[in-house]
Amino acid sequence: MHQADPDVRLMLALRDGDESAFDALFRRWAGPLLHYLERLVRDTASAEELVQESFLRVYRARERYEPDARFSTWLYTIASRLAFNELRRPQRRRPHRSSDPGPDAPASELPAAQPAIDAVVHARRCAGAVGRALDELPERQRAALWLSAVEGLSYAEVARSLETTEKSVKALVHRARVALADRLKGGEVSA
Amino acid sequence: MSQLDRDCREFEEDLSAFADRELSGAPQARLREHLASCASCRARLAAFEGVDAALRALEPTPVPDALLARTRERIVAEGRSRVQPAPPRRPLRWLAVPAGLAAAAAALALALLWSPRWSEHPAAAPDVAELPVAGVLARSSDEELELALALEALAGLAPEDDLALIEQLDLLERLDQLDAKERG
Repeated sequence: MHQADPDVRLMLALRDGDESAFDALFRRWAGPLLHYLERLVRDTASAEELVQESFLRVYRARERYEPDARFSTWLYTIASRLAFNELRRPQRRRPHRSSDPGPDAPASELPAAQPAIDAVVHARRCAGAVGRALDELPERQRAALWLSAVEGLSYAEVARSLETTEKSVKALVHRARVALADRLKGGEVSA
Repeated sequence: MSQLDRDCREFEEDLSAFADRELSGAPQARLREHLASCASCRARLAAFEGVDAALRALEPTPVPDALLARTRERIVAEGRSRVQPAPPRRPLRWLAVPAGLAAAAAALALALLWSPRWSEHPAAAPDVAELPVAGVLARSSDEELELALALEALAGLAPEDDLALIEQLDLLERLDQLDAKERG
């Protein structure tokens, strides 16, 4: 099962002693994982540490790895647990992200939707404001929406990654989308 | 409220699932039929798709070139430290948590999932007030959902997994803190 997943094949190679497979997995997944974790913990330095920690856990678990899911689902499960623990740490550093575009204007300052503008251009214009609105959502909503809408995981895979049910994922994703759409209304992100 | 408004409310959550291509069969057919006659829901769906497009347009932070090397260094360092004898471990208080608490947590998670907010069958929901940590539920809806999900996760943890153990200890500690806050 899942052996067709090239990442699973790399993981099995790592399990069998091919150390270069670890580097290959890191190069494939560190980027998306950093993007996800940065959105989740809202701090670039912490997100980088969590990427390291996640891959360290992958390495530690290599010998008992069983391909019962896509590699990415497993990786996001590890990373999500670590991130939620990080978010509950009492003395967290103040959130800081290096990649946010523009000044920290409130989401309501988003320019109004213009149907004539190309959808991609419009999405880029909205991205900063949507990102800030996303930051204000509860952590599970942020995680569920990101994994589903950005990473393209199925609800079943998101449920596995967040260790919950598909029904909960459906509710979390919906709450998050409604909150973002409403938050940016008038501003507005509606297409 | 008109019949159309009632239909819109009924389809609200399905719109998200539809945007995620998670809706199929009869529910998808019913939603498509509704969308054909409801401009409001079409606009809502377009707004959801606009949110997703904006999220996907967020620029990723580049992965620092040195991150892989730093991870490798940690792997090597960990390998070195493994050859040294581990210090004796202090017994963990939470390891002795009775199975009853985990069962109560699982029951509470189920109760929350069956509560009217998440179910079409509210009559089937158990009375959460009878559960030991019911006091923590008298908070915002998001906190309720967070706790329900955390407890769900707790109920399904694999004890042999070290990550799961950390999570389990952390969740139990949170429960303990919330419970203490309620009592105090």
